[in-house]
Formats: sequence, structure tokens, C-alpha cells
Amino acid sequence: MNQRERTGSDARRRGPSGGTEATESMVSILDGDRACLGCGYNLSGQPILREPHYDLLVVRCPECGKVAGIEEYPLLGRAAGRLAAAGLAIWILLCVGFTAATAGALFGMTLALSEEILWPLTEELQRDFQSWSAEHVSAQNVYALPRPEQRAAVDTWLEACGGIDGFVNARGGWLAAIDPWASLFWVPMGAISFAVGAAWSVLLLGCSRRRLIAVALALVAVAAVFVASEILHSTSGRGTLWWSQMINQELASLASAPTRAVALALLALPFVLGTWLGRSMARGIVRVLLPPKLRTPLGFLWIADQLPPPTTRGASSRGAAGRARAGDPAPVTARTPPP
Amino acid sequence: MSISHHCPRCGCSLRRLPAPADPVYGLAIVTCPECGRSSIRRLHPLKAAWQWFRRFDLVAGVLLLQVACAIAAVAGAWALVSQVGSLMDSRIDSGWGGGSGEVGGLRFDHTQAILAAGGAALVGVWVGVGLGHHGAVRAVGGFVCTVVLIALAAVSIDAFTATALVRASWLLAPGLVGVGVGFGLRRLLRALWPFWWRFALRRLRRSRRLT
Repeated sequence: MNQRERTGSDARRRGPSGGTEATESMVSILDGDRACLGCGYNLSGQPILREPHYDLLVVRCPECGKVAGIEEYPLLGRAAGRLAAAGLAIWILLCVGFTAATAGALFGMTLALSEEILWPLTEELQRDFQSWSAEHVSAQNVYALPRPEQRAAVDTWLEACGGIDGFVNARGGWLAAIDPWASLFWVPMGAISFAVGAAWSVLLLGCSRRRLIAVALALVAVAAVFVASEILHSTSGRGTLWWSQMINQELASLASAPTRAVALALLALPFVLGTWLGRSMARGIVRVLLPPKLRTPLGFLWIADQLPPPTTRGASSRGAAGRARAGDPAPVTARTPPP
Repeated sequence: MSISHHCPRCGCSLRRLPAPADPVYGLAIVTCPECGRSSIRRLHPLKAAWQWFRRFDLVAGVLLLQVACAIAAVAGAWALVSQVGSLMDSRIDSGWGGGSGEVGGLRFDHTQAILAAGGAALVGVWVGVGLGHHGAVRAVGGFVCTVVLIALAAVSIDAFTATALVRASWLLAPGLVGVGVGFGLRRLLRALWPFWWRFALRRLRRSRRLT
């Protein structure tokens, strides 16, 4: 037995006053409801004992023998634990769902934006094919032909114009072929992306800003995996396609990877910016839209970033933060208790 | 039966004793009749958490309502500016004007004018009630700046003539009247608050007495 254990056991035997073999003395009877922390038994009517070591008032459960202090309200261990576990499970489910939704939204917006960027080129390719087919294909409507004949027509047209590369080069290269104004389509999508990033910033209040950026980049990486699998799928399929889908596939094998990468980068930028600025914006919105008295329950937005929580007197938290940084104490209104 | 509460010094039951709020600290304090030690009657942690959640729920609801009102106000101001601007542009183009009911050299359909003025006044009322905690000067200044920014955005995006929008600026007048009404409404609500609060307290005390 080491010195510490020996000292503890001696004290336990002697009691706080140094006397030997101190015993528990009954002080009162427990009145009201109080559940045992061990078994949940209602301790109402049990004797309150003066515990000799620390001089505390305790109650001993007659069912399981567990000792409980009566100076604090006990939490029902099992019920509180189960509630906490259920809350945690709901929170994890919410985070997983939001992760999937974010990655899906980034993926979908990337596809839409890249299609929008490539749309003028796609349209011109289809128009050129239609004008070529009007002269070289016997059927009036190419869609009416069987699929193998549509494939043969598309292959012949591609040979005639020197492939997709030749088509693009004949029109002054990639930059001349795509419509830069189509990128304006990015503005509303960027706004959505920013809002999603801001929502993540508020959702993960326990994360510092650096970790939030890491989470945002991880989500962008998940979306990039989706995009890569879509590129592989769109360029490898040789099934029964219509002629317009065949042309899109030919174009995809050449242009979809760079345009989708550019589109994803364009969407990732506001997303990461949203995660960086989200909490500040949320605090600003709360400060603008809510009167000071209603801001206190949302104080966790301030506490998460180690800022002083909002006050109820209307003093701005920025002022309080400035005082705190300058080392000045907050103004204290002296109130004397009644005699 | 209520939750137990015992004196930490002598163990006497304090459960049945009333715990009036202390006039200085506002705490629910119970003094032990046996030994005279005062202790604070605290809420059970689960009950306290539930109360925090209810308060958070209330505040979140108010915040959502305010956000919805802000979005509706901006969208409404945009729609008003666009509609009035396009209306004036089309009438300037067609050379329509003159006659009774002219405003600024252009004739208005009375229904449209009333609707536009009512919409602007509603936006103003929300500014007065919902943003009144910033003070009159800030709220009115923010309102005017927001409307001007929206008008500039409408000019640049919807390509209205600046003249039409300058003439449409009369919408600011009912908006400012609405802000004044909103501030009055806010003051009225604040004046009625103590009565409502006393009534709620009385109801609470009565329900506690019954339990």
C-alpha cells in the first residue's frame, strides 16, 4: 500500500476531526421525489445521513446501497444517458445527410455549370451535323434512322470535319469556341454554394476555422470523386445512343474533364469562403434582426469563436471584445444587497 | 410530489417553503427555518435544459420570421421599383400623359398606385417594428439606403431609365410613413408589455398555487 492510499484509509477511519471510528448520524427524512443514481429507486422517505468523512448530507439507497449527495439535484443516469445518445445519433445522422446533400449539390451544380459553359459549342456541333446530314443522309430526320446507321453517319461526319479537335481548331480554338458569358450562370450557383458553406460553418460550431476549411475541402473532394466517376461513365458508354448523345459523348471525351474541373473549382471557391465567413455572417444577421434581449440564447455563435457573448443591455459585443482585448474590465454596476 | 430540497447544513426539508425571488439578485432563495441558512432553489438540470430549449425555440422562431420578413421586404421593394419603373418607362415611350390624376406628368391607375403605396408602407412598418431596436435614425437610414441600392440594381439589371426611377422615388414617402407607423406600433407594444407581463405572472402564480 502506498503512502497516499494509506493516508486516505486512515482519514476514512479517523474522520475529518481526527477522531476514530466516526459513524453516520441521521439528520432528517428525505422529503419529495429524488431518484437513486444507481437503480432509479425513489428515495423519498429515506433517512438523510451526516457523512462523517466530509461532513456532507447523503442518502443511501435501500435497494442498491448507492450513496447520493443531496446538495445537487441528481440526473437520472440512464434516462439522461439515453437522451444524450439519441440526440447524438440524430446529430450524426443529420451531419451524414447534410454531407451527402452537399456533395450531391456540388456535383449537380458542377455538371450544370460545365454544360452551360459548353452549350454554345454543343449547339454549334449539332447544327453543323444537321446541315451536313441534310446533304449526305437520305432520311429527312436522322432520329428516324436505326441506331447503327446514326452511329455511321456521326462517324462519317466526324471524319469529314477532322474530328472534334479539327472542328474546334477551325473555329479558333477552345477559348473562342466556348461562351465566356455563360459563366454568369455561376453567380446564382456560387450564391447557393456560399450559403451551404455558411450553413456548415454554423453546423460545426465545435470546429475551429482551419478545421472547417479542411472539412470543406474534404466535401469538395467527395464531389470531385462523383464528378470523376461521371466523366468515366459518360465517356466509356457505347450503348444505344441517339446521334445527339453520340456527339455529346465525343465532345465529353475531349472537353468534359477540363470544363468540369473548372466548374468545380468555381463552385468550391464560394463554398470554402462560406465556411470561412459563415459564423461572422450569422452573428451579423442576429445582431441586425434581433433586439439585444433575444440574442442571449444564440450566444453559442459568439462563444464558439472565443468572443464575449452578446449582452442584454444593447452594448455591442464588438465593444465588449475590444474592451476585453485592451484589458479593461467591463463596467460593473454596484448593487448593494438589502440589509 | 415535487422534487426534494433539503437544507445543506441541517437537512431540514425546504420543499414546501415558498422561494420568492430576491429583490436584488432575482434568485429564488429559501431560508431554513431550523438553522437559518439560506440556499438557492435551483431548477432540475433537465428542466433547465428544457427551458433553455424553449427559449431558444422562441428566439429561433423570431429570427426565422425576421429573416422571412427581410427577404419579403427586399423582394417586395424590388418588385415595386421594377413595376413602377417599367410602368413609367412604357408610358413615357407611348407618350401617354396629361389629364386628371396626373402624378409627375404621368397618369396612374388608382388601384396600382394604392397597391404600390400600400406595399411600400408595409415594408416601412416592418422596418419600424422589426428593426426599431437600432434606433430611428439608423432604421430610417438603412431603409432609404436599401431602397436606393435596390433601385440602382433594378436600373442596371432591368435597364429602366433613370428618369422613371427618380419619378418612382415617390414610393419612399409612403415607406417613410410606414416606418413612422411601425415605430408608433413598437412603442405601443412596449407600453403594453408590463400589463401583459403582470397578467402572465398572475396566471403562473395561480397555476402554481393550484399544483
